Amino acid sequence: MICGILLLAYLAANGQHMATLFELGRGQYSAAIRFLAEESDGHIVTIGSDGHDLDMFLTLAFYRSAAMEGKQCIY
Amino acid sequence: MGLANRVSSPVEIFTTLHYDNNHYLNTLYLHFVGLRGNSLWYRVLSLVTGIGTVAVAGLIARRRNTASAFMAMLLVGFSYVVVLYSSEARGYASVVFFSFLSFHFLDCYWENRNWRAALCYSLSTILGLLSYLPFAGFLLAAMAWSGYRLIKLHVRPKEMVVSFLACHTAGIAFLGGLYLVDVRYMVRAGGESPPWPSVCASAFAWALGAPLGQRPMILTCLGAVAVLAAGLRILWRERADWLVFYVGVILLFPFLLTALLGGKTIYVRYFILPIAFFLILFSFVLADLYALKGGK
Repeated sequence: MICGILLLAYLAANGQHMATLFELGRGQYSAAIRFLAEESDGHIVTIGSDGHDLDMFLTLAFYRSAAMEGKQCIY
Repeated sequence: MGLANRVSSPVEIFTTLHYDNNHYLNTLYLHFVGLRGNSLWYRVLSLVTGIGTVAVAGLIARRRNTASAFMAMLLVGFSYVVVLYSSEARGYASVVFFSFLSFHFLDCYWENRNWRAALCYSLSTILGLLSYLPFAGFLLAAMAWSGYRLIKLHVRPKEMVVSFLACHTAGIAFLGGLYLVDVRYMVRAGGESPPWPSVCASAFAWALGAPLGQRPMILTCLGAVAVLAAGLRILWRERADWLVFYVGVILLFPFLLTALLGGKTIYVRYFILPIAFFLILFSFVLADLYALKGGK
């Protein structure tokens, strides 16, 4: 009985997060960068972050050619 | 992929990147796969090792009993943390896989101390270190476990040293080599993280799935502490040598890591190994609760 309740609680708790993961997918970096490009006026998109400089640099370097729609990105 | 694209040869992954997000095995894999249009290719290593992790979890818990094996496969297979990191092109999924595999081989080794198990263990620890450097925490716990086993076996000092070195020489030497060529030059990605007690509590809560909201999160964290205590009590009753390992990998390792990093910029993902072994411990608790009912 206790075993079943604990197991059900575990599956429910993990299931809610997994449902969200399967519904929305992972980071959606392309979509986020495309959104920034669309919402920025002019040809320059300025991006900042809270300290993950190298992570952000690498991520932007990888996605910008596909998602920046020809705009220039300044980090 | 950004890191893998910056090097012209596999050796440079170890000698030039010097960055803590460089998970060697995964970067090597991405280097050989190269740029492809479909991002699924970048995640194949994580996906395969993530699926393998469920099987190996069953294998190591099977050494206790069948109910534990079934529970372990269920818990690991439905763990959000394990599923999430198995979909990420990083070394988190493979480090869990190789830590479970290493545990299995080391347990086999201590059964009859055969060289084949020692060799498999050594290879597995090297792949674990290549997957993600905090695998060093597993190595420390495994060494403490080995030391305890050897003391209990009452063998001659020379035999003790030979048995210990048969298992751990490769791992220690490889870690030393990584330190010399990369780790001592390594730059951490940085960023801001919550205070370390909050991160440790979150890691506990995430091990059980961490329901949304602060209050459920705190309750889950307390539940995880209760599960941990129950699991360690089971091991205390049954297999004290496993207890040494589990205390080391779940409790001492996070403490050492937190101390090593000075309590700064710590994330839940750093505790992926303690979380994974916590799930194995949880499977023992569930299996015993099931047996209490008379199921067995």
